[in-house]
Amino acid sequence: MSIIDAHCYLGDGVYMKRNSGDLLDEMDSHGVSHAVVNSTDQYSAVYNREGNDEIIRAVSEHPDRLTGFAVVNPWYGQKGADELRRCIESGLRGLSLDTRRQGCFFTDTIVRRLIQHAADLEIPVYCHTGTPIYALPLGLMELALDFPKVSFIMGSGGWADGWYDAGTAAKTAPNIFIETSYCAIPLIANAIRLIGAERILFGSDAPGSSLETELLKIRLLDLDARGREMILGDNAARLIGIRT
Amino acid sequence: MILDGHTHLFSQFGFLRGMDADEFVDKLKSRRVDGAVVMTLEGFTKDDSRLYNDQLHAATERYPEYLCAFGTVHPRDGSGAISEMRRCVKELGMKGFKFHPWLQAFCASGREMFPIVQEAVALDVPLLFHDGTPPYCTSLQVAYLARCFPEATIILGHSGLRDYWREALYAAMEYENIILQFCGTPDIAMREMIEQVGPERCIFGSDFPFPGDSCIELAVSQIRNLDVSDAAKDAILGENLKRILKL
Ligand SMILES: [Zn+2]
Repeated sequence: MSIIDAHCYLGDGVYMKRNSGDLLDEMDSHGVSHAVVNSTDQYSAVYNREGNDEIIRAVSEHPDRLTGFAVVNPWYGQKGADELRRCIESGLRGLSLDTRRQGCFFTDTIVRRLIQHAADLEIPVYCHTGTPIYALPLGLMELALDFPKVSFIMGSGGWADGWYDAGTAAKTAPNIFIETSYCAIPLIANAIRLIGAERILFGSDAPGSSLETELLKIRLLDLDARGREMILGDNAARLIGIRT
Repeated sequence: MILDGHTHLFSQFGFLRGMDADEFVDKLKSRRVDGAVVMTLEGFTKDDSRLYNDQLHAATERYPEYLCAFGTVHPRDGSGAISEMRRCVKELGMKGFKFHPWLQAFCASGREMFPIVQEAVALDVPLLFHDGTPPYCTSLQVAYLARCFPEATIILGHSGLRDYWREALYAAMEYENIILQFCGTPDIAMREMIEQVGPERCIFGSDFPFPGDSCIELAVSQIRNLDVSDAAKDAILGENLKRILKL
């Protein structure tokens, strides 16, 4: 079975640091065939272009192992939309929002304008969730309901402090997928009950969490083999268009 | 030796089914845990903390070698809270107190906590808080008590969880009477905390059984997988807590 890490970081962030050599080593030692990466910290807050360039370089060096998402701060407006288009034309496959760092609500006009560009580009959107005030599941739910053709990945399933709304949001908006990093095992189980394994994606958020910790969680889940395959790779392959 | 410094013994809490003391201890033992601190969960949301403190006491009476209890009180009960704290420690032999500000609907840094912390100092027991959740128990709201009462031992029960770990780390660097509990704490946070604060102020907890029965495997493996010495891991997994609770 091929395992896809649907969300982790790459680059020289102030707090989150990982180079592509270490990333590939970690993937190899945990049997992960493919990882979806984006940059973070200062790169998602302000230096979007520098961060994205690093990701573009990494995925063009390792196209069979890595897929990249672009980071764009919605406050950049048209400049941000242009950056998103540049990234997609350069081979990145989705948009990654971190409104916790970027300082805007999912329902803000600046976010909705950017999402309209993502809709036009027909790309999925990863959204960090779990952090009050700017990154909670019900905000994402409202956004997802307004853009039904866009697939939204609810990063970390609302963990820590939005977990109680994560299932509700994903059940209400069928275009929301839940990514599992940090989520407690019973909450993943609850999400599977509510929306089915087909909308759950394994992700590590490494180096924040780790492949070790996150894969062990999926192993400890009470789940049939098919469900496990879907969560560990098939769903991400289908949603993001990864060939493994 | 593994001492789990953060477990909850309860029968039912919302959609969560708890268990009785026998099943609880069996499950911990089957996962090679050598002893545990038990706390209530139901008791945080009910008026009568005495009832839940008595339940914990019954469990520690049944397993005196294996379990010790952290009681709870409602800080707004005033003198009633103080006398219950004395009963818990002096009559029931409890080793500390747990507070869950958002479930108990008070602010960790609020004035009503001051006499509670003073009493804990007088009784010579630590206070453990759920932390990492705004607006009642961010890590710095809890740390404010550590700042006001340097003689108190204040345990950050989750070391900031996912969103506040950098605040928790900052607080531990700033206030030496803060203990960091690794319980639902991200891997990156554990690494930074051990490096910057040192392993001697870090303790292990699983939150069993709230994150599922298998949460102990997960929590222990997180610590075992850290790139630190075996001595540091042993300290975190048990020895530090033993020292802090004078077991
Ligand atoms: Zn707890």
